Formats: sequence, structure tokens, C-alpha cells
Amino acid sequence: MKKKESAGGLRSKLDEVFVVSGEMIKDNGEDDHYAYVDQKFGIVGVFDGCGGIGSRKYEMYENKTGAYIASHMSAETVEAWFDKFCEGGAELSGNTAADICADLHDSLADTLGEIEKTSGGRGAIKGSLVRSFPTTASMILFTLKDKKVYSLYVWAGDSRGYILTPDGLTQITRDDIDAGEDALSNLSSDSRLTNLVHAGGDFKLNSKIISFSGPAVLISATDGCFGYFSTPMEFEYMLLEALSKAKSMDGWKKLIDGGIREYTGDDYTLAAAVLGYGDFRTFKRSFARRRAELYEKYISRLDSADKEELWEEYRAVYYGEAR
Amino acid sequence: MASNYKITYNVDMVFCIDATGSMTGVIDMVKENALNLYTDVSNAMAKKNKTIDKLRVRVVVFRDYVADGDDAMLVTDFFSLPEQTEDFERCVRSVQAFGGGDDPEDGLEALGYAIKSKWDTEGMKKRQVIVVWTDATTHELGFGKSMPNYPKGMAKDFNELTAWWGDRQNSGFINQNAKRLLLFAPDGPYWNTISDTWDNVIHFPSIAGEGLGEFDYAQIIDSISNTI
Repeated sequence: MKKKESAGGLRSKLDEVFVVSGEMIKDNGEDDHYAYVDQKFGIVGVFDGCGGIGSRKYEMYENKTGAYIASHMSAETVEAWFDKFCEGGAELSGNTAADICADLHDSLADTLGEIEKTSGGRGAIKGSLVRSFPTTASMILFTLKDKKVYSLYVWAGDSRGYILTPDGLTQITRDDIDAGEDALSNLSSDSRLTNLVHAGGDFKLNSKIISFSGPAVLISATDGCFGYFSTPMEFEYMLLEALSKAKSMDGWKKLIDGGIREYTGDDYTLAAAVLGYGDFRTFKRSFARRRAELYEKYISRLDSADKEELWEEYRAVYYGEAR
Repeated sequence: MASNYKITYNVDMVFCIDATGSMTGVIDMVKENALNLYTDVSNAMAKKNKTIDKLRVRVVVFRDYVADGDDAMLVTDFFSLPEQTEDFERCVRSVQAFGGGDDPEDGLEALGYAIKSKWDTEGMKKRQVIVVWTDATTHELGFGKSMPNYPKGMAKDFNELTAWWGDRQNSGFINQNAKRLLLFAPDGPYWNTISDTWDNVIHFPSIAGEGLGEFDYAQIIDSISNTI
């Protein structure tokens, strides 16, 4: 995690930016991240190289897989892009979102396309399941304007962008998977990705801009963080249970790491920006009611009630319909 | 959290093996790959802390209905591994390369049998994987339908076989999310059409007489294990 110290501006609202990550095979994790806060803008981004369709190994890249190279090079590309974006005096608003996405898209496509060219092309292997240097991406770009936080969620694939407030966890992004699947059904159906970043360039970066004035936590996460719980509410509960036990922001981070590690079967990366709470005690206290409610309404009933029914009740907050 | 929660992985694989005369040079390598696949995929998954809860393998040996009569298509039920490992090994090791007649073989009929397998519908996460090993292009579906042992109920043409595989709009006889097709086959009719138009396909174009290199085999293992 990189964080530039600066006074005023976005920093006046920012409490913390942190990253939690782990890999299944040491030094071969196919996730990567980029998290940074400048004076005016911040970004929390995660990238999950797709090992199933990018399993070709490249000798010139220390025999790493295309998936590994894609996520790591995408993170580096976004870092370079963000530096230029901050230096360029850009604005973040509904009017500029499309241009920002187009610029990001071209940067990622150029980088991966160039790597493909210099690494000997696409190789002999073909088929609809094969992609050259494939990775998911979830990035949240945010800024402070007129005492409001403006956040632009940009994504491709099934890495997710969330906002966590005392009202609950809301998934802002929509997974690029087959129609008809939602966050609960996809835990078991394991649907195919219909869109992801890759060297071919024919991918789409989805985007959504939201603004808010209250405190919040912006979260980008790869599927290793949330995809191994039996329901989406357990992911939120893990975050809040960890917070209730933590004595500091660093403690929260460590407990999140332990909470994910206990369940996951994949590399995992979660990048978060905590905004507007001021101090840890206030932050922790703000979520006590939500944690209790979540436990009472959902978690305590998981073994006895129908998961689909619980999900139906929960999804209004989860998909932002109740906000 | 929910107690006793654990994601289960159920994997079905169907190996379609071309056992015509032209495969003589590579049939032993194909058989070894088929026999090692279970162990290699399991090991690759274990490295990621995943365990296959239930794995079944089925074998379809194909040749040419017109040239090979009763030896044209040999189809087994699923073997549950590791319980039926010995039976599975005996079956694979008994495959001999002979016959075939002309160059194209009846690989599409083999694929038809494979797609219509009695797939496992249990388990939280499922994979239904078909692997085809051949050094030949294929006849059109129904090329050998005048032969007495040609199967009744086979897809009548390539379009129907495509529908059996299914797509995002119309599901076929195999789970849309779970299905994977790995082709080790020449870049010629109809394999190239399948590679270009069917979803969830990985095609390793082969050249007659040349084996499947170590590098590509490792990639096949990674492709399977990483998508489970």
C-alpha cells in the first residue's frame, strides 16, 4: 500500500487506506493491488489474474503464468495512469467518468497488448476459453468536493467494489457473469466471466459514480475475499465481527485477514479506504448496531432458516435498493 | 457463521480417445496422460488447499463406423476415483490403436456420447470436463449412419450437436457453467469450428505423429485445476 502524506484536501476526510492480501502458493499469487492517496484523489484497486484461462507460462517472465503477469502489470499500469491523472489537473464527476474509463481502458489494453507482442504472441492454443493475459479489475477512484466524497467505481469481471456504512454493506459493482446469477446463486453456480481485462483489448470497463457526505468505507475485493462464504451476509458479518474485536485499525486489518483466510480457497486481496470517522473508537462504535442487527436477523438463523429467504430480505441493502 | 460449512468440489471427466491406426505413435502417451490426469489435477488443486470431493471418469474410444464395425465406438460408464482406479486403469491400458480407414474419423459421434453423459448434479462447485485426443479431422455427423451399429438418437447434424453443447441462451445436455471442452486435435474440420464457435473450449492444435508436449500438458492441468 502506498500513501502519500499531505495536509488538507482529501486527507482531512481520510482516516486510513489499507490492503489485506494472501496467496495460496507463495510468490505465485495471481492477485495484485494498487492503493494510493494523493492530495486530491485516492484510489483502491484490486486485480485478480484468471488462472483457468491464463495458465500459459512465460519463460521471459520468470515462468510466471499469463494470469500472474496480467494482474501485476495491470496494477503497475494503473499506478502510472493515476500519477498522470493527478498531475493533469483532472476532475472527477459524472461528466468526466466516461473519459476516465476510456483512458484507463486504453492504458490497460496497450500494456497487455505490448506484453503479448513481446512475449511471442498468443501461442498455438486457441478456443473461446483462452485469453491472453486475463485479469479482473475493481478500482474505486475518489475525491472530496464541497464536503462530499465522489467515488467512481470502475470494474471488469467479478472482483467487486463495495461501500460499507452503518446501514450495511452494498455491492456497487455488478459482476460480469451470465445473466440470472446474483451474489448468492453465484457462490454455488460459479458462473463464467463474460467480460474481463485481457491483451485482446475487446473488453469493457464498467463504471458507476456515487457521492455521499457521511462516513463510509470504500472496499475493492477479489473473489477470494467473498467467494468462499456460504452467503453474502457472512462476508459483511466477517468484516463487522472483526471490527468489533479490533482495538485499532491495524488490528481490524489483521482480523479481516484471519477471517478471510479461515474460509478462502483462493488468493485474496481487499483494498479499503476509511473516510470521515475521525478516530477508531468512533468508527468502531458506528457499526455496533449494524453488527448486532446482522447477527440477529441473518447470521444466527443461517443453520435453521432457508438461505434463499434470508438472502431475499438482505439483498435490498446489499444491492442498494434500500438506500 | 453457518456451522459445518464447506464448499464441495465434484468433477466429472470424459476422455474421448481416437484409437485408429494413425494414433499408434501417440496412443501410449495419450493413455499415460489419461491415467495421470486425476493425480495431476488433484495435486495441482491440493497446492491451492482444495480437495476434489468426488471425481468420476468415463472413457469413449472412437474410430470409424464405416471401417471398423463393432470396434467403431467403445463407451464405458463413469469410474469413481480413487475407488475404481484399477478398473479405470485396466480399461485405458486395453485401448489399442488400429483401423480407421480413411483420414477423418467419427470424433463428433464420440463427442455426442460424451455430452450426453449422466453428469453428476450434486456438489456446490461442479466441473464437467470433456477431453478429446485425436490426430484426425472428423467426418460429418451421420457419415456412418448406414452401418447397423450406428447409434440411434445421435445428433443428426453438427447444428444439433452444437445445441447439445448449448450456449448462453439455450442450455444443452451439459451444465452451462460447469462445462469445459479440452481439444487436443488438428486445426481442421470440425474441430476448428468447435474451437471458434462453442463456448468454454480450450483447443491445443495437434500435428499427426507429434505428441502433447510437457509444456502444454502442464497448461492443461493448470487450466482444469484453476477453473475448479
